[in-house]
Amino acid sequence: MKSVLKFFRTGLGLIGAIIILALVLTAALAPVIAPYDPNAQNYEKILQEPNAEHYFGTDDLGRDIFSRVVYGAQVSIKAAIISVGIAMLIGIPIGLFTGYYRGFWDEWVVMRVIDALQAFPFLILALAISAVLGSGFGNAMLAIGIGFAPAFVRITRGQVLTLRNMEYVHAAKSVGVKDMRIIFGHILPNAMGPIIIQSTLAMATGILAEASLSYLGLGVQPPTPSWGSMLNQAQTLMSVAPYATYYPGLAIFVVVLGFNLLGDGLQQFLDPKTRK
Amino acid sequence: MFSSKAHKLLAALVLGSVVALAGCGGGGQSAADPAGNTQAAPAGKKVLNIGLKADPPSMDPMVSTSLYDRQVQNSIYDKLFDISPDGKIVPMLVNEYKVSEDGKIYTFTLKEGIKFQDGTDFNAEAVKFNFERSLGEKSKRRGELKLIEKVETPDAKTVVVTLKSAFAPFISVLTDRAGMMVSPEAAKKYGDDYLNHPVGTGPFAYVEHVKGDHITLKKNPNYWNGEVKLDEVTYKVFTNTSAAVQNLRSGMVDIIDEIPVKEIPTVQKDEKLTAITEANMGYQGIYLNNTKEPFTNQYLRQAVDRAIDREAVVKVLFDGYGSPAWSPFAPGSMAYSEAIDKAPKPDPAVIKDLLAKGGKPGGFSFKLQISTTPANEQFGAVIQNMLKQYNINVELEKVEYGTMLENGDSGNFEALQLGWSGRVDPDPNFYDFVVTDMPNNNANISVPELDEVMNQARTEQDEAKRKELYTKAMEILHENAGYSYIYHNYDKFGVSKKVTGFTYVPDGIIRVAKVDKQ
Amino acid sequence: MMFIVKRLLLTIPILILVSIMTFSLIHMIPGDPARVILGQEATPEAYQALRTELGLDKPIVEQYFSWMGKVLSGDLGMSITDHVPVIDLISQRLPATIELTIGTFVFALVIALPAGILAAVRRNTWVDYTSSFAALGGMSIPNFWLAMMVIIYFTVENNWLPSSGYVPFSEDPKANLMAMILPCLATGLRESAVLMRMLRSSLLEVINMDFVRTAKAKGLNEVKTVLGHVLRNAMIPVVTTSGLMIAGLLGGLVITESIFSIPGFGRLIVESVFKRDYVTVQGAILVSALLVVVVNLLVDLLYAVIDPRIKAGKGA
Repeated sequence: MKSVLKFFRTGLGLIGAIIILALVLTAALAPVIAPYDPNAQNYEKILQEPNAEHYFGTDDLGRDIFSRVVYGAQVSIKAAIISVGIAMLIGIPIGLFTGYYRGFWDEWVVMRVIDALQAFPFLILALAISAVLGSGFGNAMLAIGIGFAPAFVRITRGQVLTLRNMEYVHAAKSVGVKDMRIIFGHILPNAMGPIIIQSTLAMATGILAEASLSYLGLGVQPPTPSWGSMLNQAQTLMSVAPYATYYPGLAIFVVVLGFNLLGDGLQQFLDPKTRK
Repeated sequence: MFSSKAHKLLAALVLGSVVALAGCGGGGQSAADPAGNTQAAPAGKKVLNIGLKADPPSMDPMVSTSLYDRQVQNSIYDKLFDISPDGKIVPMLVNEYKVSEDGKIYTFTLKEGIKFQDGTDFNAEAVKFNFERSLGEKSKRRGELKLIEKVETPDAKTVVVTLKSAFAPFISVLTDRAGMMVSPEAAKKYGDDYLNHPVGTGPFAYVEHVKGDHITLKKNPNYWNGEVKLDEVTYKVFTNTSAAVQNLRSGMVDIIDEIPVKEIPTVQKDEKLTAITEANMGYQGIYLNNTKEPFTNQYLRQAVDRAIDREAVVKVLFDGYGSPAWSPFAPGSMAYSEAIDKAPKPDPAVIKDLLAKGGKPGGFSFKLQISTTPANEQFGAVIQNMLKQYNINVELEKVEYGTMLENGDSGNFEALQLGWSGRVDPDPNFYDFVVTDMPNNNANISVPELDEVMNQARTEQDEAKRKELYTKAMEILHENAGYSYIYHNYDKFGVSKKVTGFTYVPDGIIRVAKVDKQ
Repeated sequence: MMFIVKRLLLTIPILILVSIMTFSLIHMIPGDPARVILGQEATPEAYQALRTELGLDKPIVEQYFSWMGKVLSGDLGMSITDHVPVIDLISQRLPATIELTIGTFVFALVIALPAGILAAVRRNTWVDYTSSFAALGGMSIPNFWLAMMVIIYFTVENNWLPSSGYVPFSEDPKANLMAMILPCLATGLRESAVLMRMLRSSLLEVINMDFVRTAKAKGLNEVKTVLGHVLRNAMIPVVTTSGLMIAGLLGGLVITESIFSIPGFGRLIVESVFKRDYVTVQGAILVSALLVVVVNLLVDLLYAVIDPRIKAGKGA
């Protein structure tokens, strides 16, 4: 019994991985999977409840909701990769250098800037950045990426702080290996575990954040189907066509859960403290 | 170091927490109570709750630019003239008036014995003050009144307004914000802050405005035009129109200013409610920028204009609660005729021909700016879909509303979706939008012949001749196609059957002076 | 003592940076802010007046210090669109948000406390797995979607509870509470998931500590052990999380407030963003960040008081 439960526990990470794989496949094979063009309007079939022809029903322009949800996977996956990519590009180098060199810049400037950035509630920060940059997918990604960056600085820096005192680092230093080589050749590879966990979890949040901004009308340009903007549309039809709100939200939920499960699973696998 | 303002904030914080704590202590109780019974009004006090789609930003008619302002302002202020339910102009604060032969001198005799809500007298001096105020530097009414040369007050009840040139729509301008009379005392006392302390002669006096949430007005006990039956009117903001309908159904509000189209049947089926759906004077459409590629080409503008199937737009987006348009003149307007307002059914041969003449036989692409609301996105998607079949590729660009207005003003767009809420007289729905260099001429239309006809129409006193001129102007504009009229809006009010004495007026304003609640 | 002093000192650069970031916002707008704010209706006079009001005619450093001076005396400027002091707008909106925050937090605690304790005590049983999985699920639900589902079920389909119609508690306590139930539920679920996970892991850490083993060995029963020793010690990180959560919610309830038509602080920010009322955006963002910094500081100080080990250890 115990072992079954234990397998179930580690199995959750596997489930997460399967969900994400399914997401990637859905996005890649969207044209094959989706029975209709996601933007094709059919005025004869407006607001139809889910049926054999339209599995998830149709929206107020007669577009097939199932096809739109399928294509929405593409936006979602882009959102996850781009926003976290931006955050990593900004956050990891800063974390590496400040953690390695420490000193005044580290403690009184960079870390305080990070503290200050983290004082702004995440969505508010993203909103403010979007307000300045204007709406659109690219700007939304930048806004979310900047919002995430502090977390990557912290986690990277934290790793560097422990790793820089390791014997092999001291050894490398004493034989005259250059700092850059130590940082990128020795420290970074060993710091990757927690960074990967963090990026998996951040992708979950990134998808949520993209959906939230799209929901507020600041995300993708129409008619590109994004789950968040579909919900924004569907909200006005809540009492007439509640089914239009079910599936895009469910899609977000499942995918975010996938990333969370995987992140959690990785944490147990990579982090010796919780691995028992 | 801390000022009284900081203290106020602190006090609000502390108070808020205490209240909230007290509140959540009993969180779980009485959860099964029906939502409809939560309304609390002290016995005997008649409160009318009106749901508005957006927060009215300003209670000062001089600086107001929002449609939602007008709803509230019409309860606080009376105007020199008003619109009757059949769309005619009738005197309101004015008792009678005369216009000189040449249409330049207007003599108004005012009603007597009327007082502002602050107790000061309404008289000729007050009218003069208001005109002068509206012509001031900060005024947004200057455009409507700019032809005024001088205002004289021979006695306390007579006002003589001299115009620089004849201007047929002058009286109709005074049925709206430019004709609202604010108390000179209050305006002087509060200066720039007057917009937060409005005082008029209207049936209700201002009490408070919690920005983004509600505005409360109370009965003006000394109202000159019959006893006001309600004690209070509250305007509540529902940015979510579905929520507004739910509140109407549960009895939390009595009137809402917009029922979403798809929920009209729900309201109609509800025996406690009435749905009022009437065509108003407004229109929606698309600016095609005369000075930006690709629309510097008249044939391409025409191609877009002729390719839009208005009947289908109205059917798909509004279930028929809107009427197809090809001019700014709605069916209720004096300038309306089917000949100019009914667009020809899109004909692929015609459009192909236009594209060829425009040098783009294989079609072309353009960017259409739309605002971020779901309704506008749907509108954009439908237009995109319609033009696609003629190889005209529309790239939708979602822009936040303020930016869009700005882009419109600065001409920073190829095509832009923006309409107009509409006035009873044809001129304010047309002139500023199509005459060279006028403020709302976002498409930069400049046709000398059109300008000439439009200016003639302004000064023409005879209705039949004016109508002819507008028809001619519209024919010219159809050729230019700098603005593509697509549909006329409907007002879609939801009204509880408890409300009596409410009459629809085609300017779309909810008038509350005669309204009662059972 | 050293810790407290250092913590207080560290707060100063953070506050300065927060203020600089907020200040820069208005200057990051492409083009001349006064132009953008006034739009094309701007008369030259109004344009100059606004430039002076915003202090744009002075060097940027001077602008910052004069702005800071005003902020320190509680003046956040005048709202551009509403012509009301920003501080008044904020104090009008805060009570609703504070109520919502507390309601959400209470809701979260009610779920998280029992679930977290059970999961830790019954570690590696189905109770643990089920509640941990549920917590992950809770964290994955987009809360605007949950809000819609809640509205569809409770309001549209069954008409049990209102989904809008906020009134201040002082005006009508019953209506106020009724209107607050759904929003608290919609946001509270996610927060409860976060809290529950935190509680579970910190409980597990404490349970394995020596003093607990000793207590167990001495034969104290499990319930008493958990309640008496473990919970008290495990609460420390939970308090931190809660503090951060509350501070974050105060500014972060944007979507909940929009969906449920609650005139709160978050909606003020969104509305101002859409209306391009940058002065209000600036003021409101500053206040929301200040709240987080202050709550953070308080939590850290409290932490130091509760747990003597911290004072020496925890640094940057």
